[in-house]
Amino acid sequence: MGRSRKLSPQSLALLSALANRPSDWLYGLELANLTGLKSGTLYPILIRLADRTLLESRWLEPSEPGRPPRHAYRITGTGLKALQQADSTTSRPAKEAFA
Amino acid sequence: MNAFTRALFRIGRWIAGRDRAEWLDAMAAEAEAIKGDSTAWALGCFWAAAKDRFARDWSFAVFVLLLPVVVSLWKLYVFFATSSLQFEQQIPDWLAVACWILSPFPFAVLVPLVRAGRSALIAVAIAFLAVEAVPVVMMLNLGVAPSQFFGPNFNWYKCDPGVRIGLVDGIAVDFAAWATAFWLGSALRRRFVRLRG
Repeated sequence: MGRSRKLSPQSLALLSALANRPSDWLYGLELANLTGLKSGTLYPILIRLADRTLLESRWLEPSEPGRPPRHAYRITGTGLKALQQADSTTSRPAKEAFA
Repeated sequence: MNAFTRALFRIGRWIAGRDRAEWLDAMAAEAEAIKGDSTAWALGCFWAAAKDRFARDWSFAVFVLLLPVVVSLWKLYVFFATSSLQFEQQIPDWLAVACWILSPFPFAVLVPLVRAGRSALIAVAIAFLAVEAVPVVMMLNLGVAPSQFFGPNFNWYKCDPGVRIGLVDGIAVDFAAWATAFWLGSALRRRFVRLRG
């Protein structure tokens, strides 16, 4: 099933960027700058993560008048759990090596 | 955003389909927020939309890509088969030309039967444009100058001494054949749906 699929390094980078500011809504451009991902990579990941409810999205009213509303993203509880789980899985071989 | 990026987002939204329209709007809103050139961002978004649609609907994407190839090969087969019969005077010129014009008919009927709505129309439109482009590309590769190509000596269905159909008329006749077949397929589909419902 899709939900149990392993997260890619880019997906993890994106979730980490969102997890650093868990209560903030971040825009696509901000996430692109934080992760270094291009729009062609960023959006398929955002769509996948939203489909798996690892992040939530909403339209925010523009700060400047005359600008269109912008889509913003925030990590969910499920997303935080998935990130913690992925972190523990990836760091386990390293821990074992140093044990 | 400039006209090019706006067009990219519009086409991307169309490719992505209704299910992903909100995401394309989200990408376009970010492009509006970029200070400076947003072309690279828009191209990435366009690529993302196409990739996503292909992943969700890969069987249809393969179908759209293969349909023009299959129709072109079928058209060539019909052309050579009927040309030899015509050359041996076993069939009249008009019948050979009619076979060439009507050769894509079964495919254009079939598409709306297997796929509903706008998807079928897109598949048939792409196949029609690609198939119509084949003779143009062939002629250009054979060194026929555009002036001659569009001139009075060029015929879409050149079939001496009988039937002669010029370039524009040829494309119009082809279009009429495709459109009729598509309409027929759509009508048949509606009838099947009604019978089943």
